[in-house]
Amino acid sequence: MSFAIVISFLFLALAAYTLLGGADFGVGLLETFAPARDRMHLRTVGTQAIAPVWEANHIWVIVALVVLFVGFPRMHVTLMTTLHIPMVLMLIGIVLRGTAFAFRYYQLGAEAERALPLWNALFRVGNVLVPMAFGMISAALSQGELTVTAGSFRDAYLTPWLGIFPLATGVFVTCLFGWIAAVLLCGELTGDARVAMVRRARRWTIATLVAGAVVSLTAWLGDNPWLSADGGLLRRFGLVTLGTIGIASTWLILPKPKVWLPRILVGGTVFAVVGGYFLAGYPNGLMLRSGEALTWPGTAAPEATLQALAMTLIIASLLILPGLAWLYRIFKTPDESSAI
Amino acid sequence: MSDLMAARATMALSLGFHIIFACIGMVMPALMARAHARWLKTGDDTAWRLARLWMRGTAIFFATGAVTGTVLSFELGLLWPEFMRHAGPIIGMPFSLEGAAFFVEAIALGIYMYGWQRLRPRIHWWCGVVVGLAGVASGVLVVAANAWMNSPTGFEWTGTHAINIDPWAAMANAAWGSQAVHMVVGAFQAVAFAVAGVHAYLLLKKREPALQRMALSMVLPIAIGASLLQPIVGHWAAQDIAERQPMKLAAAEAHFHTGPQAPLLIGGWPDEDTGTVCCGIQIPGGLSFLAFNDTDAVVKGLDQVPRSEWPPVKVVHIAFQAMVGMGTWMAGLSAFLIFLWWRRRPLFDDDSKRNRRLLWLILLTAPMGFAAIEAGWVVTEVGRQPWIIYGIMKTKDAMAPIPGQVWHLVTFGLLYVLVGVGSFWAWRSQVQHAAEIEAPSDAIRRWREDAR
Repeated sequence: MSFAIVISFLFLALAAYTLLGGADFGVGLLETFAPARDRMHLRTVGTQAIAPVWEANHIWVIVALVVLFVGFPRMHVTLMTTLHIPMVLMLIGIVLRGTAFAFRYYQLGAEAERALPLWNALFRVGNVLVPMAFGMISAALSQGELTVTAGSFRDAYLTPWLGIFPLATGVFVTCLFGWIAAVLLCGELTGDARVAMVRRARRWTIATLVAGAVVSLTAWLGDNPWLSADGGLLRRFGLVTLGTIGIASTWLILPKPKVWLPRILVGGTVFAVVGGYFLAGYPNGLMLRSGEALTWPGTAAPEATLQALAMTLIIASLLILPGLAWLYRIFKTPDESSAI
Repeated sequence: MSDLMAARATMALSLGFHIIFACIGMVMPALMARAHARWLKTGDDTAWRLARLWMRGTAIFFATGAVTGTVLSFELGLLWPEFMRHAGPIIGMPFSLEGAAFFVEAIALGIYMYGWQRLRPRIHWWCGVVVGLAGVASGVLVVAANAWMNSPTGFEWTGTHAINIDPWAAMANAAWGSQAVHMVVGAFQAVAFAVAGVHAYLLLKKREPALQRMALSMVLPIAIGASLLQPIVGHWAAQDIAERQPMKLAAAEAHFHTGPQAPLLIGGWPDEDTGTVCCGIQIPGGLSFLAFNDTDAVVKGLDQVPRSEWPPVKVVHIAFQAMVGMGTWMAGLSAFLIFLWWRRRPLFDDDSKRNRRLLWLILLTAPMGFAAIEAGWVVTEVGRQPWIIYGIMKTKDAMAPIPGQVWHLVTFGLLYVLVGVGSFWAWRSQVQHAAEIEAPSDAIRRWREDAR
């Protein structure tokens, strides 16, 4: 029972980070990949949309990490050892994005104007680095290249995540984050800004679908072990298919000026994609080159720890989920959402 | 530089950097809520502007603290995987509770910062208070994890792994109480003195004297209270260490030889090879008295354990002296300020020479609280070496296998320089442009009055 609770929270935290953290990074990606003349506008729109909530959204990654290292210590240690470098890259991205966002918002005066290009550049680098590393880490876990007993540095610390499939996954996650932000903003904007955002969202939809197709293709060509794992087709591909349909169906709903429809679509799609990833591997969490797989039940902490963790998670969520709901109610209810 | 030294230096740098922002996150919301409460009560524009200024300070430093804290939580596994493999399930409770407190802090800060006029004034103010309470809670909780490293409990060690884990017992370890109180009081002391220094400087520069005087009247009592309390708390912490980690105390005091009537050493340069100290002042029986309330008590010296298990004596001793010295200075200045206030209140009411000298004194003291915190963490962390889990696991056995760890140090060193400069820069620009913080708009005034 406590195992089920703990792993559900791990999934919840990862999916929530992908959705909410993804939306925040996505807002930065929209700015990053927009033509120079649109950037200032997108920066304003993006800042308004995420300023009150991004700190809270960021905490989901810490929740996921803590549940991982308390509940699944061996999984955590193997992950941190073998994927050391992309983890560090992700951290650098997190630091650059968060601080540059705050600095360019709060710095005043003539100095601020001089420093702005620097903060803008670092902000954009951070926004690309995080989804790329996040995607590459997720891909590397599945492809059975991780090794804890390697010879050369390159073999142990670079090859496992520097391949076509992880790169494609990194690009896919980047596109997915941009897509999340663009679609959500379509729901929040009005007038001309909305029309421009709809056009932008369509481009991100296409990019995400193409990148997703490349991920599937490279996984198949690379004989990804999770594609041939035991278990029904439905379990392995059902949710992923649902996610794909979700992304594709943005096309239909974008023209309608609704606030909640895009949110439901984006939320459902992200949970399907992350759930599909999780289920495709389950019970495996991480594949080693030796052929061994680390499973979630096999790496779980002792029962006493799981029980205490499950209890803490339940009690904490009773405190936090209503708080989060309140935060979102205040800032993301239609009519009020754009005024800071 | 060896991989071990590089990894330790990276961790020390990350902790030493993050702790500044963590402390600000614990204390700044309390200041902001105090000024805000004054405004709610009196409608005074100066109080409103001060609350807004401190709110922005909180926001800037919180953003940096949140991401540097994220770096730390990842570095535990990236740099010390063998430690986390065993410690993760044992000390998970304080970490997960700290995560929860941090979550509450981030939610409350978002609501507070952008919720003016959207909530009822009193509820909105309470959100600000919750930011501070959650900040202190997360500080207290994360110290529990560190305290467990000093006083490991809640498991049985077979020599290779832990069995019979009891996470709640691990959290309620013996070192937690004194360490947590010492840390929280230190945070209030450091932040209050640093903020007092900023406003003392601005008052010396004659920029908006009314605002600076109000700020000083709000932070100085906190700085004084914490500074006078801290020697008592520090004494409690030292007695705790004398009992549980005698080698840490021995290194802090450069106490090489076990014996009764141990002297208290002030200053001095220890020589680890000869086991002697050059040039210090020794107060006979002082250490015995401070550690065990008895001048004749036997205090264990470093000779109790083989040399290979000594912490680096010089570093620990100097850091300890620095911490105690600065703590004593701050307590002395606090007592002096109380004396002056009793003689002629209010302080700083005019631009007299006497007041200017006093402001300079506060300005000089401003960085000391933070310096003392850094020194204190050097004492507790370096003083635990060579152990990462005291008496159970050595730091060298906890390391990550990846070579070239010096690159970590370089990467995060550069990143912290950038982020440190950026935060300081952003905050300084806010302070410099404080005059531009507008008085509350009519809508805001109405919002306040409607609720009354």
